[in-house]
Amino acid sequence: MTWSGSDAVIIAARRPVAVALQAVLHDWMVQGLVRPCRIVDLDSMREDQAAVPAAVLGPDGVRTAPLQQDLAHSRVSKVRLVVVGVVDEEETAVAAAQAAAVLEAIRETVSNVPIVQLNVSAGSPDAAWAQRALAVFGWHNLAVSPEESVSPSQGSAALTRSLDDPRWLLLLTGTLCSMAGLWPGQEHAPFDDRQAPSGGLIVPVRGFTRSLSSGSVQDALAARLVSVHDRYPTPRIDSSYALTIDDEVATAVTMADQLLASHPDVMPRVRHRTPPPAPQKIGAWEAVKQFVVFAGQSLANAPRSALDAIGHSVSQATAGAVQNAVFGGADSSFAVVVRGVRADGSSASWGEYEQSLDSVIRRAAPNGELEPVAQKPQLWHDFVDGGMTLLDAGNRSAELPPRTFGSQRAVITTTDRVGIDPSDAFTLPPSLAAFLPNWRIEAGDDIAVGRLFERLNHLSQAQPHLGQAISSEHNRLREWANRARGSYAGHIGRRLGDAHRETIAEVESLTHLVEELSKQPPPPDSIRQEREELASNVRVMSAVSASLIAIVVALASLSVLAWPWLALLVLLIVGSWAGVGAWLHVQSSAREYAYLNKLRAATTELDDATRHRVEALEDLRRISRSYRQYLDWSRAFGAFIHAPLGHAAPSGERRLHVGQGMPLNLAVGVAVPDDEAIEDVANRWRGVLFRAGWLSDAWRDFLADLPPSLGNLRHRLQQDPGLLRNDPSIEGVPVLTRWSSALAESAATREIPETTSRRILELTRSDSEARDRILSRVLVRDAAGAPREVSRTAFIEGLDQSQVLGSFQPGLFNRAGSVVDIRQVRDTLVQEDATGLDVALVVMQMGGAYDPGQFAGPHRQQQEPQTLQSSDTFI
Amino acid sequence: MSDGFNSHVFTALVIFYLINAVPSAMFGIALARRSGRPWWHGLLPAFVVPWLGLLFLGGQPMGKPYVTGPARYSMVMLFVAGVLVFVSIWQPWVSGDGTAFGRPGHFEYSPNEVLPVAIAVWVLAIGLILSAVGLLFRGGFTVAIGAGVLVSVIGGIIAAVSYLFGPAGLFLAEVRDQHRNLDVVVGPGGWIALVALCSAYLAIVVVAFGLKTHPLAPPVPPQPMSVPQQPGQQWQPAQPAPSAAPQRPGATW
Repeated sequence: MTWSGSDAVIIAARRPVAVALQAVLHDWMVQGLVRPCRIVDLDSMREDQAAVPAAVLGPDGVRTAPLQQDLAHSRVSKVRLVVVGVVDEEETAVAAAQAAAVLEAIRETVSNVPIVQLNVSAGSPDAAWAQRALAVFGWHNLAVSPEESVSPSQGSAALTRSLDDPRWLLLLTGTLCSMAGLWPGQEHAPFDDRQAPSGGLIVPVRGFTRSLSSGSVQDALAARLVSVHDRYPTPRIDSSYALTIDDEVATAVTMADQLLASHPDVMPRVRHRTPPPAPQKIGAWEAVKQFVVFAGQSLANAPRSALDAIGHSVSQATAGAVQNAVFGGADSSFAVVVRGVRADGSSASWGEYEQSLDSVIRRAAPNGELEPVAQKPQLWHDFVDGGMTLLDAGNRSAELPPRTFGSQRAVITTTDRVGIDPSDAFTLPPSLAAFLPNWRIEAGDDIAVGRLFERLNHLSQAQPHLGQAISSEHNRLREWANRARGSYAGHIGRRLGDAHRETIAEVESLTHLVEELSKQPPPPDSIRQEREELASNVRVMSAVSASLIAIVVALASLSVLAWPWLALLVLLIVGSWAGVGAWLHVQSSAREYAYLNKLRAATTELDDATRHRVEALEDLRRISRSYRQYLDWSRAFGAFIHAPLGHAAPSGERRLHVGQGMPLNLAVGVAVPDDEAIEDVANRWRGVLFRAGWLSDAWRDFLADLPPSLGNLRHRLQQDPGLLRNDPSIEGVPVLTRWSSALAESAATREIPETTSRRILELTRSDSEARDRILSRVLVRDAAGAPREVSRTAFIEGLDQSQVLGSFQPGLFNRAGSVVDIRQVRDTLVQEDATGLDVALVVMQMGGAYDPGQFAGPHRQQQEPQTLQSSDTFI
Repeated sequence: MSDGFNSHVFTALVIFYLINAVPSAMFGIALARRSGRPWWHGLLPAFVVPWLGLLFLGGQPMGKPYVTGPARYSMVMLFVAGVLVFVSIWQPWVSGDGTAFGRPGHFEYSPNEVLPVAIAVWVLAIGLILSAVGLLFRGGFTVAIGAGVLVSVIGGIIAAVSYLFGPAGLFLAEVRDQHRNLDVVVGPGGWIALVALCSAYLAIVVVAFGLKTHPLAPPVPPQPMSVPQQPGQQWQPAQPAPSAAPQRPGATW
């Protein structure tokens, strides 16, 4: 893990100076003009206490904390310690021991962090500089010249007073901010990479600063870039842009149909009927065999067993079907399944609906057990991909390719044609809501719309005096629902809703059919009588044949007939018996089997109807689950595509309150949003930000950005994202429903993702031309405090000429000194940094390094400069 | 008349009686069962007084007659018997050697040659066939009893005469004279007729058990007239009839 910290700025001063600096810095901090810092009151330090009290200034205000503790709690990559002493009075000058104590405390706390040590002396002209200015070995010993000037190339005027002069105080504070890198946009401080001069010498400095705060412009630009609530930008594809589709409704509907075509298992299955049995032809020998068997049964008086067995099986099937048909009619669960409303007329939740449906299926299923509904994560993955492809022309799936216009990709730019804003719900006016409570329909909920239409029709019959209001709501609801149906997500909801309604109608129809078929009359007596008649005839034929044979045998025995005749006649009798009997049996069996086939067909139809009803109920269960998940995904997807990059902070123009009494060196301005410039830059950057398929990254950020309102589920989803694919119920509420509801609620307040902010920031850094254009107008306050809008060129005028050196005012130096060019500026350091659109232009001018004795005021006793434990190893 | 002859006559009468009593008893049993009486209520009178005893079994239930297996069997067998009897008419019933009708030598007789016998055989044949036809088209006990009487009486006569005088006694008076020494054998026609008669006799024994009757349905009592609505209920509004078709959710609107 990379530990990236930030720079910590610590300003240490005696109490009068610290209080004054804190007051100024606090005001600026509140207005967002400077970055956070810490102020240490050196007079509050005690030798017996190791803790160093510090005032921590931040955007939220001031809090007091031990410096060591505050640093330990912060991620710090560099520390800039600025010790400030005012040489006008002894009470404001800093002793070497005090600076050493602060430095030691910092080193003990963040021992491995580099420390930039600045020892700054300030005061009025001709004050006791030589006596009180502190010079410490290894530090940047700097003396702030008490003068003000617009720029190095222009003249300067001395500031004759010190702490009691606000102008001097603002000059000191501004210079300290420049030295410590406190201005917004200032990435580095001027002395971060400079080596401190050797020896205890002091360097006179003066600073010029122009700080441009661009919060309003940033907000306006971000808002312009990320706002796609109504329309989407055409994405850039290679070197050109995608085209815009004219017929958006047809395109969205086609994409939705393609999605459902690639997932046919979502829709109701095709019901297969049992084919009728093929007619069976039998030969003569087979007919004779069957007749012989039948004759045997007839003689044994048991020819009805086959018919009875068939009749028994039919009765069993009928009884089972009747058992299954009992849930029709007044069954409460069945009523919820069919109507989707509770007993009081209010809309049943999907949880209640699925519970009632499971109850009905358990009673209808052969074994009464329910398997869990198969999840379809790929469907919803494709659902999201298809919607995003319509908007950004990304190539995500072979089944759902980007739309094309000729050879070029094309997109839908109207957001509502793809997804529905979940905040666009339909509610009834109070006059009707009193009769129809709990009717709040989410956008795209096609089934709820149909049910509400039913309830309104029912209400118009029950309450005729509400007819006009109901008619008006009818029209409003129809218009609202048709708007959703014309979108990609809404069309999927419509297709699923149609399938749901058709399946319910099919279940009702099949239930009615099963009840009708279950009332199948018992086999008619004619068939049984015919069978009995045939058996009787066979018995008669058999008896007659036996008698004839007996007669023939008798006649042969009595020598009336010769034996050959006997054999011939016996054969003739037996053959006739078998032939006639077989013919009669076939004729009778044909009629019997015709009836049995009819009976079997009826039984098969009943079996088919019963099986189809179970299949239809299973389909209904699967479609209900898919529809509920559609609502969940549509809710989340709708919230996403209406703000895929979150929402920019409210773009209120920041007010500039500082300016009056500011020294000329320091100018603070606020960039004024220019709508035309911002629109131009936004158009320019859209091609970079919005490339084909750009929504995929935004969707990933959206999924990863779980709102805190999810509670424990948030942590579970972070640990196991597969929960969304499995969609289990937690405390009776499906995970998808909770997740999508929380996302939809938080979408309105979702901030711009960090990745998007970073990309915009990179663009502002890399595109200096665009930055100059949108920062072209600057609001400043002049010395009198009057707001004034100037151009950016005028704002930084004079500071862009770094070659001018100039000279310091003489008040800082010993007027009787022997060094001729002591007032000369030896070096000019120009630093223009920008963080995003915040720009800081800092010009630091430095003179030579001199012994304190060269400065104004009475000399101190000759002594060696202070040595505070060499810090060379830290800088 | 000698005592021996008298005993033979008695035996012949017994044979005649039994041949008539057996089918008569079967009819009696069937009629008793059809009228719901114990079977022996019909057996006793019909057996004791053949055919006339059936008059004691009046009060049979009304109904539509129909025939079942035994009756159909009887119908066929009566027809077959009638055909056989017809066939037998042109066959020699008896043949023998000796002096008959004043002519010595071999002789053959068939019913056509003796008028009474011819009449009896023709009556028997036609009666059997008509009985079969009657059973086919009308059914009922009347035809069956007629056939039964016909077969039993003729069969009984033939059996009794045959017992007294032998098979040829039917045709030749000389044969009835026991002092004549004639060598007589039954011819093919006689055997055919005998087989036919046995078949017909078997048919009339079982025919009674195949004659059934569908009982007539009892008369339907008159239905009471519907009660008119009370005047006091007329103010109530008529309830709308519930729609037969289930209400459908609106797929389109």
